Amino acid sequence: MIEELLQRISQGRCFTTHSLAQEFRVSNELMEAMLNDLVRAGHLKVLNHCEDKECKGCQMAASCKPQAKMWMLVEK
Amino acid sequence: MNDQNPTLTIALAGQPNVGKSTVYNLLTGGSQYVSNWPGKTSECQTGCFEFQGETIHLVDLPGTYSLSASSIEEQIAREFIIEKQPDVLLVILDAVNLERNLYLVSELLNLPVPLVLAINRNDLAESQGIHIEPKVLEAAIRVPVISLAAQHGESIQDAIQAAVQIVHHPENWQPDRPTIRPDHQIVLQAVEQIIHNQVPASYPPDWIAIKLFEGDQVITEMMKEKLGSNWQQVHNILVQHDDAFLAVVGGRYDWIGRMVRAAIARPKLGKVTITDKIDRLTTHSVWGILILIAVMAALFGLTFSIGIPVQNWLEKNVIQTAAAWVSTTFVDSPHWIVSLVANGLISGVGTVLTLLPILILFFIGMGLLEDSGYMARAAFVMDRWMHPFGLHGKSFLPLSFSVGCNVPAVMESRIIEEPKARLITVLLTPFIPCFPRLSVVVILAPILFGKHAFLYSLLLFSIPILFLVLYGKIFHELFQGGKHNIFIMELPLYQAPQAKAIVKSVGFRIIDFLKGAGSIILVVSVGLWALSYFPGGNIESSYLSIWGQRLDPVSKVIGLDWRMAVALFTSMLRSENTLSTLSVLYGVGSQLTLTEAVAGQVVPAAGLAFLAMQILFIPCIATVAAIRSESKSWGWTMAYVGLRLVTSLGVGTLIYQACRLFQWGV
Repeated sequence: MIEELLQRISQGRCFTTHSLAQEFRVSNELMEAMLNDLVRAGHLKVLNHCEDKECKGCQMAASCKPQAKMWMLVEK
Repeated sequence: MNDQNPTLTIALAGQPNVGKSTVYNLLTGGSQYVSNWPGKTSECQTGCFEFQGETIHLVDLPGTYSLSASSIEEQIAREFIIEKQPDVLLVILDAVNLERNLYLVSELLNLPVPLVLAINRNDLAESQGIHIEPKVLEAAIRVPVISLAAQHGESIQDAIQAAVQIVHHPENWQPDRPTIRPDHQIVLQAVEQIIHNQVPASYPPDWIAIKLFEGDQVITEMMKEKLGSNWQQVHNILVQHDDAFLAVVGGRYDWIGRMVRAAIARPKLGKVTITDKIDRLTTHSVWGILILIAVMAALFGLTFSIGIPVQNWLEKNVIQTAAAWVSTTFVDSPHWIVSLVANGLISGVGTVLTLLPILILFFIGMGLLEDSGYMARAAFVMDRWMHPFGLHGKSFLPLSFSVGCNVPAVMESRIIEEPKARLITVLLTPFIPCFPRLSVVVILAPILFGKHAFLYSLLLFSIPILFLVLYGKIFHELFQGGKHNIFIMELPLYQAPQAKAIVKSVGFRIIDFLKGAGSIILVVSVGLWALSYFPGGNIESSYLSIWGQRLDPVSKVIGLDWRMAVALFTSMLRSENTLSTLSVLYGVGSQLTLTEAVAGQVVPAAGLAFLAMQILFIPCIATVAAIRSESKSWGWTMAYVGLRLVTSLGVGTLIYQACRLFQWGV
């Protein structure tokens, strides 16, 4: 199933975890676990606002909150 | 407790918050705190109780999602299971989230300890339309499955009974374990053969091999030490089969899929939540776009219908009044000091001050959209339109807001997480002409082109859009090699925006603007004032004017006289300065209107070239400061300024020379 998920993501452009969960007929939580396993495998990257170290010196860091958890496909 | 009784050790395993501690307390009468947040139980709690003449040692393991040792809890749990080897594991599963819970089960099944599964909160799952068949699941996994209600103490004794049974009848322990993908099974065996004799006694070699495939740091380090020079053989296999991780976890997900299909019935497709219903519209390819346009129009309309009158009021009643007061009050002071304060410092502070109403309103609007959860939907529906430029949906928001003012739009680029997409957005956003820049075209076009003003205005407005697309493509190729990023977004639940959070967010953003862009605006304002004042004490005899006249030969190629060139440069202070500078330099006053001055001295070809240059020229200082602040790079900022200058000059020259070639308007 996880290989099919990776293949599906590679063929598309933008997905929501919910739409992928529905397509693969799994719960949102299990889909998130699969995406995180794809991160561990190096196929996806989790994006967040404060990934550059400079954010640590940003006075807005306290109020800056990610709107939605996001993953990006990376080439291996 | 009778010490002569036979003893058993049962370990309670499960994810955080599934009710393990409740079961532990009910059985042992312990006073352990029942955690309602992951990670509270980070040590193994042990207690005893009597069951059918046997003494049971009950161990409450820390809550874990898997056995990957990525957290201290996972490491403690798996080391206990492997090294202490309890007689049986009682795995508490949350019925509401059974699929995710089964992942842990899929890992536990590969350890040399039998399991009993206890499904908790079945009543809650039923209320959500999730129907679980414990007996079907039991038959599928071939592991005892008990349905219990830990909060009410129901069926806990049944779970213990099942655990004791499995210990006394180990021959019944024949579970359906997840397997690694078939094409990797031979590789797994090869690794097992290499490590077999070096694996510590309590560790199953097949489990160690799987963990090596998973890249488990703790196990990898342990086996490196144990294998010594033989490690290289394992390492070579792992390098050759870098997809082994997916083969392992893929096997687990396939196993979960089989179990779920067998034993879980989910809500019917027609039964959807309110969020689902709203999302069907907000993420729809057509309705989603229309809703987004409406939301942005409302945000845009509110911000500018309130912000611009306040901005004008501040300009007239605070900035101009303060400048006039300084000029009249300190009339005996040296003229340059009065001019510095009135036209340099007050102008600079005024620029910052007059931007605040728009920024505050914009940030409140954005805060509402962010806090409500809508922003993620807006980004999702716009994604497909942004891809040609290497951007994704979130870039649409700053781009769309640029029409109002480039400054908050550039600052809003920080909502984009991916650094390259963020930089491209920062660089593309100011290509959308802001209101003041558009207003220069709107005022001068009728003077220059008469009844054809509307058509020429449309042509002029389309030029920066063409360059946005062109540079978007170039930046996309340059920064991202023309590859399209693929994103997966988790859409947050809708919620009522929190006033306190929005006020805090607006406050931080305004402080950030004042600290970053504000100081640059002030310094550059004073610098530009100096260039437009010295050495003669007025703009006509200033360095700016002198340099403008020296540029006359170059300006002539574009059809501009030096006054128009100077007007372009003063637009860097504020975009609308173009008009006031032209008025001063062309001697507009009681005897001459701007219309008469421009119409009398600027031919249409030169006017068209000038307006095209003006709309493409270097953005105002506030925008440049925002670009520096968001890109965190003077290099990119100056390169961008250079790009806009070259683009503007190139387009102006091209238009004027084309007009000359075709003898139009010269």
